[in-house]
Amino acid sequence: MNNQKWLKGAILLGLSFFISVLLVKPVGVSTQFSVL
Amino acid sequence: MKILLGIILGAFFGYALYKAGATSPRKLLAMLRLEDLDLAKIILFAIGLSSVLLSIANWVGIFDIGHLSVKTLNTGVIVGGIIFGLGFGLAGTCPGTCVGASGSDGFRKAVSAIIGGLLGAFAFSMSYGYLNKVGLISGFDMGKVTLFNLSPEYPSLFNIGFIGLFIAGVVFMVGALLLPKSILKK
Repeated sequence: MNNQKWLKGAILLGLSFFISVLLVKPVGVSTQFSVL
Repeated sequence: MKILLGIILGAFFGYALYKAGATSPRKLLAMLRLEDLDLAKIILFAIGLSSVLLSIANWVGIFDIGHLSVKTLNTGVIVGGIIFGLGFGLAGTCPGTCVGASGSDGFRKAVSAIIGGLLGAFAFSMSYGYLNKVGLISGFDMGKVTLFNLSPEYPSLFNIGFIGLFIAGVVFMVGALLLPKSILKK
C-alpha cells in the first residue's frame, strides 16, 4: 500500500514536470534536466 | 494566454508537490537526514518519468530538446549551492516547496521563507556588481559540466538526442524503485 502511495505522488509530479516543460518551459522546472 | 497557462500549470505543480508530501518541512528534513527516503524516491522517479515522456515528445516531433540548456559551473554556483543547502537543511523548505506550503497548515513558516528568499534575492542583486568584480561569480569557470560528459562531441545527453534522454529517464525510474525507504534509523 505504501509503495503505491509514493508512486502515485511521483507520477503526478513527473506529469507536472513534463507538461510544464512542454508547454511553458519554466526555468525552475527545466533546470532539473541540467545534470543530464 | 501564456500567463494563464503558467498559473494553471503552477497550480497543478503546487498540488503535485502537496500530494507528494514535498511541502512538509518534517518530510523534507527526514529525507535530508536519510531517515525517510520516500520523497527522494518520488523526486527521482518524477525526473525519470518526465525525461522519458520528453524524449518521446521529441521523437514524435512536438518538443525540441534544444530548449533544455546546461548551466555553467563556476564559483558562484558552488558558493550558492552551499548557502542553498544550509538554508534548505535549516528551514526544511526550498524556493519551490515554500510557495506550495503557503497554502497548507504550515503557512507562517512558508511565508517567512518566501520573504527571506525575496530579501536574499534583493541583497544579491544589490551586491552582484561587487561580487562579480572580485571574481566570486564567474571565477573557477569549469564550463558546462554534466553527469554524462561522454566526449567533446557529446558533452551531454541532449547531444545524443532523444535516446540518451530516454535511457537516462529509465535509469532514474529504476533507481527510484530500488532505493530503500530509509538508510538511517530515526
